[in-house]
Amino acid sequence: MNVPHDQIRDSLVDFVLGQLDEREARRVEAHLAEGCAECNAEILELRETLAHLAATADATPAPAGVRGRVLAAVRTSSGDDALTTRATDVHGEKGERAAAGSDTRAHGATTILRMPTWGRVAVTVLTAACLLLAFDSFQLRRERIGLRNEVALTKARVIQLESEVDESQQWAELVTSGNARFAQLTATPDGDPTMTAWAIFDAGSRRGAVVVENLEPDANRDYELWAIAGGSPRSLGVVETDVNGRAVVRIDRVVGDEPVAAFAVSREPRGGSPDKTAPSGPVILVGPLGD
Amino acid sequence: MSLSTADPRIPRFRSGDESVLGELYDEHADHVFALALRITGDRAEAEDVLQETWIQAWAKRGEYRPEQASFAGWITMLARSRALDRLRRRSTRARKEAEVLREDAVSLPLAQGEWGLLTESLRAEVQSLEPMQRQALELAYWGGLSHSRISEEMGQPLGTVKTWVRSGILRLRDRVVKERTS
Repeated sequence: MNVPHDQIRDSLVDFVLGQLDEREARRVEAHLAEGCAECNAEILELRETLAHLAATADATPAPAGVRGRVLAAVRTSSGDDALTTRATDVHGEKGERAAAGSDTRAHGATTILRMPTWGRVAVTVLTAACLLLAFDSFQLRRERIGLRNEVALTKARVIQLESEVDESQQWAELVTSGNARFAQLTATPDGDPTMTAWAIFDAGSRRGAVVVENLEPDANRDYELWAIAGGSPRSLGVVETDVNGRAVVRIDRVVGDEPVAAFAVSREPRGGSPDKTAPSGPVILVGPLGD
Repeated sequence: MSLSTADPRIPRFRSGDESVLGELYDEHADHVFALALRITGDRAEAEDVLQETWIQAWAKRGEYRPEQASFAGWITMLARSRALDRLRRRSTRARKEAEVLREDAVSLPLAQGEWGLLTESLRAEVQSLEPMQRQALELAYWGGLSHSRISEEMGQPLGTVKTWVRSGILRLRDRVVKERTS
């Protein structure tokens, strides 16, 4: 059910403050995603206002070290090896320590020349003890850096998984939604009779999914998916099939608010139809959404 | 902090250019940390919030819609949400301890430029609100309390609380718009 624009606009302050329940928040999100210019402009201003309100807190310097951990976690999540970063960090500290150590040794050597034998022995023992302590300290620092990086990486993974769970829940809700409607797409005279497709679509969120089977791979052609809404076709993008001609297409949102009546697939030049409001090639699959 | 929604770095950020993340972090991290510290009142927790916020921002970069929030607005929203989650998980006793720790926060000079001026202006606007309205607004924003909880805590009718919070935020919004266009 579409909620009136005025009602949505009046709830935007509560929305940015997190005062709406999940269902109400979803409605606002859907309205914003539909591209309502007035509400998008309002939400932009409200969020800027809250960012300024946040900045009225006494400015406090962010702790050193977080930046490095964030960037290391991001590099790892992007597929790079975080150990490279960790090794660089440790090496950097070690390098600085070694440089400082060489200054100390040079200074110490000058002093030793003026000391008696017992003094030299004592200094040697103390130096060895200090080196051992320094080594222990270095090891502990390295372990601490390693552990902090591991914590950061674990948190990054948790956040990633939370995001994936959220997405999975949204798709699960699509299937279980009382508003979900189905369509079976069958071949037109321009298509191969073995081709087929199924669609599920939620008119409320305007999200859906389409599974196509037996689309013959063609190096010179692409297949394009269309939604028929308000009597007009709207491109949902090129369908990327696997070697068996199968594809699962997620529809994040069909633009506009006219009811979607059917889905179709057309055969197009590479890259799809130049006109995204009409197929340029033959429609090979089509099917109406059921009630 | 930049308020521009036409920041040329944003498309690079959204497409996964890691080099932009460090720049954005340098620009916004102090404010994010200050927000987290104000809400949680605990430096260790605020540090966790700061780290998690940026990792989350990276994980969700594809969901960021520049037409609905400046980057500052978006990162603030993520940070507030994470900080409030932590606050809600904490016991009442720990909250009271945090109130004491908040007094120890180290202050920095205010940010310079348009951002700093606007923030100062907003601070003045908040102070000019009637005390009850200011309290309701602060409980909603910094405390993350629902209207009904605020109503209970303040002993005021729910409708009154809703009006205070809504009209307070709209008044602050008007001030930001006015200052930016003047």
